Amino acid sequence: MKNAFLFCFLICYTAFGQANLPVEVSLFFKGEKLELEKWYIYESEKQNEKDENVDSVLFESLRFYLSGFELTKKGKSVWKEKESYHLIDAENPASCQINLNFAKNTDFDGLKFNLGIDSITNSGGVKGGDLDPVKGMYWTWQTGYIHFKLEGKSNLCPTRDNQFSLHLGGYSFSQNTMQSLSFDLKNPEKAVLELDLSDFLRGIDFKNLNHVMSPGAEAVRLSQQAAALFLLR
Amino acid sequence: MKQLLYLFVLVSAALLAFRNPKEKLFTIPKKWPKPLYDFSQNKLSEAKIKLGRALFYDPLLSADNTISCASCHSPYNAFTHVDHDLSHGINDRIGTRNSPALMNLAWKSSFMWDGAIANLDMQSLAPISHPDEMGSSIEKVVSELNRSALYRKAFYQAYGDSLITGEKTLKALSQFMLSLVSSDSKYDRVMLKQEQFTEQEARGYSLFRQNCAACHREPLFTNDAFANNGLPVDPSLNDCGKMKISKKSADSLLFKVPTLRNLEYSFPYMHDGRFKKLSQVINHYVSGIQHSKTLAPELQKPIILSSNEKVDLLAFLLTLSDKNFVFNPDFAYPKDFFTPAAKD
Ligand code: HEC
Ligand code: HEC
Repeated sequence: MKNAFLFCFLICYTAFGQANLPVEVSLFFKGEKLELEKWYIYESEKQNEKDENVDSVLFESLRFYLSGFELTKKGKSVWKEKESYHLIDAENPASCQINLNFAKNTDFDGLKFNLGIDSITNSGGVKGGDLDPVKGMYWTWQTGYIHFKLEGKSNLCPTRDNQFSLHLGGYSFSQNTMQSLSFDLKNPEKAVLELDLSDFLRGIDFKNLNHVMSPGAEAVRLSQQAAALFLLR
Repeated sequence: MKQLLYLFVLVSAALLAFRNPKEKLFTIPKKWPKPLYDFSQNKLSEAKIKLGRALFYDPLLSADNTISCASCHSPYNAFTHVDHDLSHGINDRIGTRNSPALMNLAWKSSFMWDGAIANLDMQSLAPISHPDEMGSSIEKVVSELNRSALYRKAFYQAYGDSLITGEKTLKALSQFMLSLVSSDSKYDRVMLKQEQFTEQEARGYSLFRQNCAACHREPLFTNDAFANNGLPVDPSLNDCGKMKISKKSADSLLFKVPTLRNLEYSFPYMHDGRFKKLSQVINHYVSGIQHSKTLAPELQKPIILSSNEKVDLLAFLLTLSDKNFVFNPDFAYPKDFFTPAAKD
């Protein structure tokens, strides 16, 4: 009898021991570490032959939500993070370091998460932490989080001060912009997610597309494009 | 054994006697459906409702400290705007819509005339941030609140923590708004068999059930859905209603069916406040319906009412007035919160 207790205790002890996986989000522009408020030169997409295809671009802010982190084994979920909402802010290095804590013996070979916030959370009541509307990532005039926000200037933008603002969000049916991502994890000790914004600018015609401020087809397309940026190292 | 029983009776009696009559912070009126608001995520407490009430009346929530929620949602008008067709915000800027009367909000699945907001907690963000309304932002409001000793104390009393966040602020506002339940009109008392309709009101009630109740469903007097009730488009506003949000042409000119409770106090009527009087509303349904692609099926067939019947219908609509709601001292400006010294 005593032994059985001891056995249970040991099982519990090992099962409840903690392991962790640091996930780092690493932002780049053309292979260089991304700096905000810095002018970059890049080759823009030509809309027609006569166009100059050199543009300069500056980013003022880049913020997005990663949510619903899961570890998988052979594609099957083995662990889910509770209250898994992380606001990544290019201005705040600490926000780019996520730490996943799970039971010690978890056996996994893959990582899954979403770019954006699920629709239930979007339409539910107010939440705190990274989801607190004071973070400025909530549309105020209608329901829903802004999943991905990129703001800055490009010489191609025919707008005041050459500004562009891409606020991507939307959660209902055809307007849903949340993107699910999954990766094989070669290194179970650390995951580095790399995004190169120069790839995002490919396919954006700043002359005609510089303000996306509400859900819709454009936001859906750009969200897919943003999700395609993620690489796992 | 007998003594034990006496003791038991005594203790229960004492407990009952000391029960705070306000303990039940939210009661579902008899025969009403279940509320839709998820109270489990925002448990009501007296301190939070009190805090929410203070926030609702405090112009600190606007950019220039001039406009509070109550500026556009005045208690004596069933929490709608006094006398204006379109709402007036800071610097007297005029919005594009009439402020709805606020009541029975726990039973609504979406908010705003076009349903743009899916949860009551998030509703307050809209006026706080709108440049034509309060012109501020939740970030700014929270930082001002954190600077106020009065509010730090009130948040501490409500949440056991004086650090003020957006979540706590919005939840407190929701709590006050959830407490605004109107269920004590003559109509309600008639339904509970405590009172009787006059003959005229009774005739009006049956006309109402034939012509209006499909959309303005009892007991909330709204079916919580959207419809085009045949209002001609105002070209100066060009408001296409729900289509703005859903981007579907089938939703063009669809607006949320409003409740008809407390109409007596909540004029003007409709999303743009185009009608000042109920008789104008009734005339609209009888002779003003504009046919268009999205006109509600219920209104395709003309509603025919004689002048007597119009008066009967009106008499019934007035039985939906709830004086105890409109003049409830628990909903009014919380003088003793803002000037505790005046409490005597
Ligand atoms: C400048 C006037 C104005 C101010 C100030 C204002 N509102 Fe409103 N409110 C409106 C208007 C107009 C609407 C309807 C808007 C629409 O449908 O587009 C509305 C809608 C609402 C609704 C939705 C009701 C329903 O039945 O759909 C709620 C709830 C509400 N307001 C609460 C508040 C709160 C809380 C505040 C303070 C934080 C506030 N309002 C401040 C004008 C105002
Ligand atoms: C097809 C559904 C439908 C029917 C039937 C209907 N209504 Fe309405 N009613 C609406 C909608 C939708 C609105 C809001 C329209 C808007 O503002 O654009 C409204 C608005 C109103 C308002 C204004 C309320 C306010 O606070 O602004 C009154 C009063 C009203 N209806 C009374 C009636 C009466 C009386 C009848 C029966 C003769 C009736 N309705 C039949 C859908 C309906």
